[in-house]
Amino acid sequence: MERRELIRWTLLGGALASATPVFQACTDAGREVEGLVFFRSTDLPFVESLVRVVLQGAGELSPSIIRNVIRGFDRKIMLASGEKRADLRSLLVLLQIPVLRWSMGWHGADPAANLLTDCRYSRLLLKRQAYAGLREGILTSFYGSPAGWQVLGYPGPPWAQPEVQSR
Amino acid sequence: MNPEPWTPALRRNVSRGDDPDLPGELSADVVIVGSGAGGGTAAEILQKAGLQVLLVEEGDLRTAADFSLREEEAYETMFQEVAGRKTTDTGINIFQGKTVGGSTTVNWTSSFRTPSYVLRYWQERFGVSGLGAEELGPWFEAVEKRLHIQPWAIPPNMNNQILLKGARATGVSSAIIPRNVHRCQNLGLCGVGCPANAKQSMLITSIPAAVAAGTKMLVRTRADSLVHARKGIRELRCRSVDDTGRILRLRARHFVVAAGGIGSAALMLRSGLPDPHDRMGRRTFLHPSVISVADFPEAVAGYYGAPQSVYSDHYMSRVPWEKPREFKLETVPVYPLLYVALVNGIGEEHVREIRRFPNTGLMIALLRDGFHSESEGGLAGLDDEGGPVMAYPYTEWLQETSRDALLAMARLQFAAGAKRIMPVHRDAVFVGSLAAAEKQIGSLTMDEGHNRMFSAHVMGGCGMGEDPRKSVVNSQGRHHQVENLSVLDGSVFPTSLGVNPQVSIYAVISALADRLARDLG
Repeated sequence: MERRELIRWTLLGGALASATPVFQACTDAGREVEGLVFFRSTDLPFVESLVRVVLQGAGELSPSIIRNVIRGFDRKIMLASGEKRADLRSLLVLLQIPVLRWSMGWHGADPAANLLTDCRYSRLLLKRQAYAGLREGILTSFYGSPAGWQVLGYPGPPWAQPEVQSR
Repeated sequence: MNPEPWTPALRRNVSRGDDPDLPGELSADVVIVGSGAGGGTAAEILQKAGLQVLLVEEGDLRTAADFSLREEEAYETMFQEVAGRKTTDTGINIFQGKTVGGSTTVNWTSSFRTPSYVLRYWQERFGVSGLGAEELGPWFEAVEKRLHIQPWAIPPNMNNQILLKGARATGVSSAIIPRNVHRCQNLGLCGVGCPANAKQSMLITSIPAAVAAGTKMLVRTRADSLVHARKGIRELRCRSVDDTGRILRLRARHFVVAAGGIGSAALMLRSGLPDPHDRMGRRTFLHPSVISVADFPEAVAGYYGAPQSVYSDHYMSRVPWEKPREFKLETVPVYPLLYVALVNGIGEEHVREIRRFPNTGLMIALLRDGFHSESEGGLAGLDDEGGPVMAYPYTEWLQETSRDALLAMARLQFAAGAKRIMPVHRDAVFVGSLAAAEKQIGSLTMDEGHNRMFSAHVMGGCGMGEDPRKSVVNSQGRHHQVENLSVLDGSVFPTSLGVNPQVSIYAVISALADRLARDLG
């Protein structure tokens, strides 16, 4: 059952992406963004909203912190498996289309928070996996930095690299 | 810090796969795929026996000076899939190295011999010969001497003392972990690459020794396929991970696959090698593990100090085939990124809990798989793009042993003074008493959509044995159907071990590589 759901979603994303011109336009929509490989300009409003929800309460999220988190997420998804990349791309394509965006939970006063809650507690494994993937990508792109360490109270690595090493 | 073995002279024998000056065809006596515990060990032994070795590694050559000591960079540069590799149903998160030295460069240094009853089981159940405790004894001794393996003599850090204290308070046995370190500064950064060259990984021992003796190494080079002809493997085709579109063809008399659990089986499946009994990738084991988080009134600072120095085998027997629900207890270093991912939730809910980071202790239970019909392991295979994947069924055994282990850890953590604990599980919350913990753990749904498991020990998938119907390679690691092919890494293990695997790989592969060197003489 759950495997079928995964296939269905992937097929949905794939079919939308390839079969219908309007959806094709969504996949290709947006321009490349400097410093990013995976995310395109049209993805960024959605991704930024998700980052703000996942990191809410973690101190001031300045534009440069948000930018660094998105860059970190972009690097990680490019190093992840092709399947994970395809799943995230499918999700981002769905978010471009108002009716599908709504069905994914993107509505209400804080649509990103609503989508994440909807996915987290969904009966569908695929949606729970989407929540876990988004959460992990964002958390691991913030809490590895000194700004994230400050929230945790982590003093940092107990070692300073010698400036000159014999190579 | 200890001296850096990777001198400029040594580095001249290392090329990147995208080096335009690299000829499209290279030849050697032996081509080895993978530079981890198995490949590194084999390279040194074969090279020193006078065979010209060509070692192929998908990751980069990153040495102490490159280690930024930041988890984020380490996971992105030295781990498979940014340390986020998952089984196909995402029920288990797998940590595997992808760098010169493989997982030995980023492991937590725990160094145990293979239990003798495990070796005996391999002999009796799978017909493995020549690898009993007696035959392997000298190899274990040599490895322990070479890698400075000793029980950790410095007092354990607080995170490990919690295990010690909890065990003592509850009458549970525990002991000190032997570690492969030399002049260790007790920093605790083993998992992101030792900046002091104290950890005696393949990166600073066997591999530079092999290269100094003449081994050539290709890094950032992915093995695509072994080309099989009538007389065996003709060549290995590979390409740069920075895909230049160019295929490199590596020719040799003999080929060694040492790409680690999952990776080795995936390469041979991708190559379409003979597998008449459908054994390839089967019985891949993980020591699937559950983790328990504990919040203490006093600071734990589990991010500093030797990551693992105390263990308990209290819940393990010497007859695992009779008692399948067994697990080993150890600790997990409280590194920031590892930790924030373990705590459930997002936003304020998440931040409120993770602020307890300095006071957090982490305990882990490694389930021993492979000794019983209820735990036959997983299946390594290929995704649509030919990449490695791993399916591991969430059987009743896995679910109920997880529950047993989470209960055992909760008891120890409360006995050690924890004020709250949380089993790492999608539906779990922190609770403030043992009774509440027992109630919560007893009622959790433990299937793949709810439980959260981890593995850093991928073993098996190309199991050894004398019966080709039940194994991929023979007791010498030689492929049953392909003449000039060996598998020399942890994927030859017919079961899991019940101990952290690095020393088992070093010793078993030393014995097999020594035999291969004589055969190829």
